[in-house]
Amino acid sequence: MKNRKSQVKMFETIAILVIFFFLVGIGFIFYSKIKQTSQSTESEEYFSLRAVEIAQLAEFMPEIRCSADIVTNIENCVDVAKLDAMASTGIISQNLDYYYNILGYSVIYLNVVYPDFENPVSWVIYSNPKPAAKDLGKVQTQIPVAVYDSKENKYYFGVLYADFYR
Amino acid sequence: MAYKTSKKAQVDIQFNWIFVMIAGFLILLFFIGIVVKQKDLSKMEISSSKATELRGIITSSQVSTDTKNAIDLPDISIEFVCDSKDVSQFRVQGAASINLPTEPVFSPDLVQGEKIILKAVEFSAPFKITNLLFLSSPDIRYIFVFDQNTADDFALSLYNKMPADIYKEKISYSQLSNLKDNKNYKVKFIFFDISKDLIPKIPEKLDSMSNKDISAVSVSGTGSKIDFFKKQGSSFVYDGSSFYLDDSMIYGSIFSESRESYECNMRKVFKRFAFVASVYAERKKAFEFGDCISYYGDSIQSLKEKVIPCASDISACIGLLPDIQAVKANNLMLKQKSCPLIY
Repeated sequence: MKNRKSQVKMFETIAILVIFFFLVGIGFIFYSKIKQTSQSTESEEYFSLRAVEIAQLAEFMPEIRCSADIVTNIENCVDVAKLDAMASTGIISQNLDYYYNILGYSVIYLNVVYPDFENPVSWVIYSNPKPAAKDLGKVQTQIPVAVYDSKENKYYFGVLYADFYR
Repeated sequence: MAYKTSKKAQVDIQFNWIFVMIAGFLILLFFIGIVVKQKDLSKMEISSSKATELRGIITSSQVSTDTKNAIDLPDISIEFVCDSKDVSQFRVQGAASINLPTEPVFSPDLVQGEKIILKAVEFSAPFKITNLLFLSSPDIRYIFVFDQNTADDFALSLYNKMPADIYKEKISYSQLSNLKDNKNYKVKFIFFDISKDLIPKIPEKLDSMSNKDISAVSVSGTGSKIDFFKKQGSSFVYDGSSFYLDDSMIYGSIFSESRESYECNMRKVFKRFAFVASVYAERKKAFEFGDCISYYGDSIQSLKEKVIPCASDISACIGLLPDIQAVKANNLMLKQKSCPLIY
């Protein structure tokens, strides 16, 4: 009878190694899945943060913000005369490349919500949505603002919308 | 009884041990490889996170004014570039470059140390244009050289308003030659009203520093001129002039690596200036009626037309101050007449 003891021992050793690497492999798969999930969460957080940044940058643009000399006591204030001036000169639409560096793929617009005018009062401040083929959805941030009309010397209540595209 | 010795067991045991050692070595090597790879990945993650943090702070500096921040730098450095071709970006060591096409960030070309100091200051001329961001390291030495006996208020005021965490010192001209080397990796000298022919020599103890690590500016207190100098051997060599409109621009020149970097950032400012001035010029037209019409003048229109060429060549705006003051005066008069203001 041939002695197969050593062969059995060899197989035993190899089997142990195989099981060991199998367990290490399972550990790696588990680790990479967790890493993937955490990266996806971080990416979502970054995107949300960026959306808020864009909204704040839009709100604080000197091109629309009330001048401190005119409105001294209101922080979030937008000037109607500047909005009209921007619309008539097309400053932003003619320099989309420049403002893209600040506002990215987004649409920024303002609606006056109070008082309730017969015809809705709104301005599109910046419009540069992502092309439909690349659109992966958007996040909207809303900022309540005071809207100051220096001609009438009146304040209205408005909401600044910032739709930021992924 | 004689025992038959078998060599089979000896071979078997030896082979077993050799096999164990080889397999063990390979497994150890495998795990060491994973640890090293993970260490590199972690470093990249830290660099990426610092780059994102810095990007966020630079963005938020465009929103808030007069803010101060400090970021910890765990053994990494940051390079800043803003050149004559308007290529503006920063790169955290180990991470990808991030562009800064519109944000004026005045900084040395290399920031390293335990932390970086950031300060955002509003630039108005005379209405708000944008925020300027000054960035530096506590390991960079800023030396203000002026005659303290003559109570130079201008120089002293600039010195006192430097950010608190910045390594700054003030010395007189007589103390310059005895200046010690405190092992800072960069040194910046700030002179006042020194003509380019009379710029002092570099202190002997700082001679051994690399040419790119020492630079100087000379600020004119009476005019609006700033001269830039770079080190060459043991002397300062004139590197061109630029101008300033207010204190924030002087600080821009102090924190900038060179005239090229300063003017690159100022071109960003003037580009924005042109857009904002255009909005104000158009806005004014809405109020030109009734009793107030004669008070508006064309100061804002004139300012707008003069600013537009500065976005490509800032030397076109050297004489801008009178136009800025004219708009300010016009605005004040409108206030006195109870008319809607220009800004």
